[in-house]
Amino acid sequence: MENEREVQMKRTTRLHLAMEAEETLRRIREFPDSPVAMEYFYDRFHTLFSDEPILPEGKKTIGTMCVQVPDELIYAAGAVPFRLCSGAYAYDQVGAESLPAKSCPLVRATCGMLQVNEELWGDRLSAVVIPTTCDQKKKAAEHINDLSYRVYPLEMPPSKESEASRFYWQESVKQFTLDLQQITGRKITKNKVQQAIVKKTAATELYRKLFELRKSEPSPLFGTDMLLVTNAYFLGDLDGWMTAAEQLLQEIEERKAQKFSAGTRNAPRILLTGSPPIFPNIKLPILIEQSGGIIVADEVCSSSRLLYDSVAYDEPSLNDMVPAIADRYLKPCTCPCLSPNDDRRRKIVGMAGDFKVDGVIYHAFSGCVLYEMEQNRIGRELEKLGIPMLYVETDYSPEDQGQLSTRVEAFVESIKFRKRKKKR
Amino acid sequence: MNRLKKTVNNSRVSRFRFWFQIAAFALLVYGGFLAINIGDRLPTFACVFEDGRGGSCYLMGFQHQMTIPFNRIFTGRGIGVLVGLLTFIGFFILFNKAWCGFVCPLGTIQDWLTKLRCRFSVRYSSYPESLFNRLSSIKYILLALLILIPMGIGNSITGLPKLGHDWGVPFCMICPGRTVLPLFIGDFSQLAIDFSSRTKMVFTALGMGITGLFFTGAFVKKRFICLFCPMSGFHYIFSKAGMLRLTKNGDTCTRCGNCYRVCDVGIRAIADDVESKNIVKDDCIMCFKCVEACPEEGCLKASFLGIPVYESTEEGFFKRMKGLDNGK
Amino acid sequence: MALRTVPRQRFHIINCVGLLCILLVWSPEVNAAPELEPLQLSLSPSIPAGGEVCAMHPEPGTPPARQSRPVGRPGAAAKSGKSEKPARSGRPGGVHESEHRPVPKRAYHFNDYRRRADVETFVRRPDGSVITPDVHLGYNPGLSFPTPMGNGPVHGANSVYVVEQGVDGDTLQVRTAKWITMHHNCGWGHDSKFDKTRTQPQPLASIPFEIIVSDLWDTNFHAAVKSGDRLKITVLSYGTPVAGARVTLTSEKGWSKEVMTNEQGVATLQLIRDYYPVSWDRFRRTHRGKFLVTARHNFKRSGSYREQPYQRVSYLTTLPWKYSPSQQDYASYRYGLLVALLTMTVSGLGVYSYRDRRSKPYKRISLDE
Repeated sequence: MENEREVQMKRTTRLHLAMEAEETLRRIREFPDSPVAMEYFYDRFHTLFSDEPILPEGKKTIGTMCVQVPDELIYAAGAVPFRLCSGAYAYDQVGAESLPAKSCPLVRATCGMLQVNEELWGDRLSAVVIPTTCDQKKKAAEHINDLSYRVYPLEMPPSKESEASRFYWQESVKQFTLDLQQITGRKITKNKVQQAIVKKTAATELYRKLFELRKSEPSPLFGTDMLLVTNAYFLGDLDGWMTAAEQLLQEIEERKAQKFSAGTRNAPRILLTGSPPIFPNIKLPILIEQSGGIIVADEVCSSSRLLYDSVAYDEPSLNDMVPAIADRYLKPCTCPCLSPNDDRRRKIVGMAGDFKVDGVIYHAFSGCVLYEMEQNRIGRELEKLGIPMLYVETDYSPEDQGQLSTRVEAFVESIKFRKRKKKR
Repeated sequence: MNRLKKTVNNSRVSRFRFWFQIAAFALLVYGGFLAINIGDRLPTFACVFEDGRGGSCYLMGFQHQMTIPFNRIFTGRGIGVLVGLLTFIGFFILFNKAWCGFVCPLGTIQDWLTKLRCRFSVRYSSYPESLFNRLSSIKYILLALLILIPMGIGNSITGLPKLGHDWGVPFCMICPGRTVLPLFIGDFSQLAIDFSSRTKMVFTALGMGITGLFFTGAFVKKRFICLFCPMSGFHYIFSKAGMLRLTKNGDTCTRCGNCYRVCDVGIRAIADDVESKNIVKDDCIMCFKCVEACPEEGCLKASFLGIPVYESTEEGFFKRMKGLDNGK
Repeated sequence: MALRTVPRQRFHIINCVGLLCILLVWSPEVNAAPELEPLQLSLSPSIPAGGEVCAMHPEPGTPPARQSRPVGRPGAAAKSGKSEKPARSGRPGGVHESEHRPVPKRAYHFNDYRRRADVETFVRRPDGSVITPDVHLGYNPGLSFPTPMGNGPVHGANSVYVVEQGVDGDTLQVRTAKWITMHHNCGWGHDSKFDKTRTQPQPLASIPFEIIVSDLWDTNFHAAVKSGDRLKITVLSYGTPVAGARVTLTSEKGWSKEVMTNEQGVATLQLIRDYYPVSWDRFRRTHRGKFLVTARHNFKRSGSYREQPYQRVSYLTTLPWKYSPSQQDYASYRYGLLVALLTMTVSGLGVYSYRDRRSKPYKRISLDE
């Protein structure tokens, strides 16, 4: 009986997933002149959701949650990182059965996803690494552990200011390095770590180039597309991702040379910050860009926070490189689970200047108290600079689309109006 | 011009520094054999006890001059002290603390020891922050002593009897430069312990003890001795007037800590201080490895008289990082 | 040969490397009967500046007449006069000539001259120029010459010569005395190592008979001779080497050795250790002992000097010099290396065990009570 219900649930979830993904992709494709190189990314998400969700083949896969899990070490251990954070409403609904209604949709969706795919992934995922970031992720770890996954809690300090917390994190990551060898059964050598660092750095460099291109006026690339690019990085296929990103970069560079504008010429330049939009939940970015705005920059953990920073080490030894990797995941981190988190404010202010941002949209998942609580401070700071900010609290359900689009449209229009006024 | 700037910013200053250090070492240790003498008030450890030197460390002469009797401060001898100090400052402000990172032979030897350690795959040590801050003050204590002790030779301070001449040049007696640098011209005479008087015996034994520490210390800890170097403290007094400067633009800093990571002396402010523009701290050796490791456009900048000479750039950073793959 | 040690004075100076110097100035007299007593130059008290005092006038301010009265007289009188002087060894202050305390004028005594002979004096400056000092003969013979301050032609080793020539019977007796003084101040720079002529002894071709000792100075303008050193002594006559000359080295305590110069006019003599303080506490690393190098040679050569014919020529010259104890006397590599190795081992093991200990689970925090 129970089993039957579960089979039914799985079937409907898959159906809903496919529909959700198709709908999102359809709306994305409605944007004009999408770059040819974007096809790879669209296709990745199409396949990921149309059929049984496939993990990377051939190598051991390590599931990760949060940006703080050091990819380099996983690659050095001969495994592939696969970021589990999910943006699917269908999974969210599954997760909501066991998690409270007030909790974060991302956490619910991720738990739901792991629950639905338990049979499929149980043996394929060597471990699920969950950094002890926010309370909800921490608690989710316990739920996931109850399923048949091997959960690895990666202990993270609640602050990054003191040297003690930095060393604590370094020790955590060192321990993770040791444990990872057990999990994968492969030895992590300094050569492998060095190669992994260089490879990840190459990916970072690619990302940064795309990131820089959006500084130009007009921006040659839609922010939604950019989010899909970084989203695809979650999926572990680093080589494929890099080839595709490189092609995209070339294409965008050509477009920039031709002064191509992705949106309308005077589209308000928007900075998106806050909770991470993850495919298929990219309704907010789509709404922004459909309303005539263009996302030129983002400060979210599914995009810039994921790929902007890079490792630097002094000596090619494990005892220097591993702490260096640890530093890369803690020191520049602007996750609101850290306190104080002044760096996030500085980063947003810096970006607002660099990208000539006209307005900021602050996205918070209903249930994510941390982002909600930081909203006020960021807002005041932006007010000082005269940059308008729209605070949007939403979840994965499509129900608030109408209300949301009204607010976003009004915000974008008001910026347009201000811009016009300024011009005169 | 822009292309030159780009090439420079894309380059690896460490490699330049490696060769520059060798050249400076050769000049300061062997230059004398080629009749080179760049000055005897140098703000770096061109040791006077080493006969082939191509210039001389200021501290020796300075300690000498500090024996000046107080009643002769306003005579020609006082002027001599002042001229010496001004010459030293003149040399110093030219390159600021880069004298430490690029020229100092003792610093170079420590860097070589670090390379040796890397070859043996021995990990390095670093101090906890609190200890670092405490140890950091030793250099000022040594600086005070190297002024006060010679003063005690020339004067009776607070009625105490004058110190004997065996107390002369107290810092030289404990400086590893005295014992180590002459070895490079095959002169082992400084390694001996001098039993001719108690003071000498204590000083030379202390000197040899510190020499021993110098080797172990520099082997396990990058630039071990620099943290205690009174010359470095002396430098810092005039550092703000330096023509060569290291500046930071805190607005572009993400506090990623790359600079702190590669810093040989372990200055945390380089990463975490986003307020100061002039980021040269008293322990800084101006090796510019931080500039090399900074991925932010124009965040860290070395400039000479306001003209930028080496700047952190995104392109340069990634170029250097990619280079690491090819073994170098 | 009768040799007497005259009062020595100890006093302190600061030299360029900050070492404590104690110089002993000493005037041995060599009674060379039937030959003439060697001529010798020594410091003069006439210029007390910079603490320069003469061996014969131990303390500035004391009436010089008492000590110097007999000195002016030739021969035996001088000898007896000196023997009367009170022994002052071990007392600080007083006589020395510092290498690092320049004075604008230098003055020296010489111990003897014959009334009928000619006395000429020369100073060879480091740049090669020769000047004639002011000489005063008579009761208390001496000479003086200016040494201008500053890094000029005078900066470096100045050689002072007294040449006395006269015919005695059938012999032309030529006595010369040499003294090398260092005119240097650290403030003028230490470029000696790049300009060796400042410290290397240079001969003077106009001197009938002269001793050159190699490596008298180190590159820091300090007298470099240490006990145990092998001295390379060259004997020159008018600038050309003299083979077969008798060279005598007489140490402070009276030990002496004589050798002959070879074809190149070179003799090698090892300076023995001659400094034995009563207890180790009295040992001074910077002790300056004196020794005297004497050279003599007779030629069978006839001629006439000042219309006085002679059949033989007899040359006699002196060079007083000073030495410090050898480093081997008071310094030990063994202990030095032991200390260094010990600290290296201890600190190395310390680091190792610390690391080992730290690799075990967790460092406990201890609270301050």
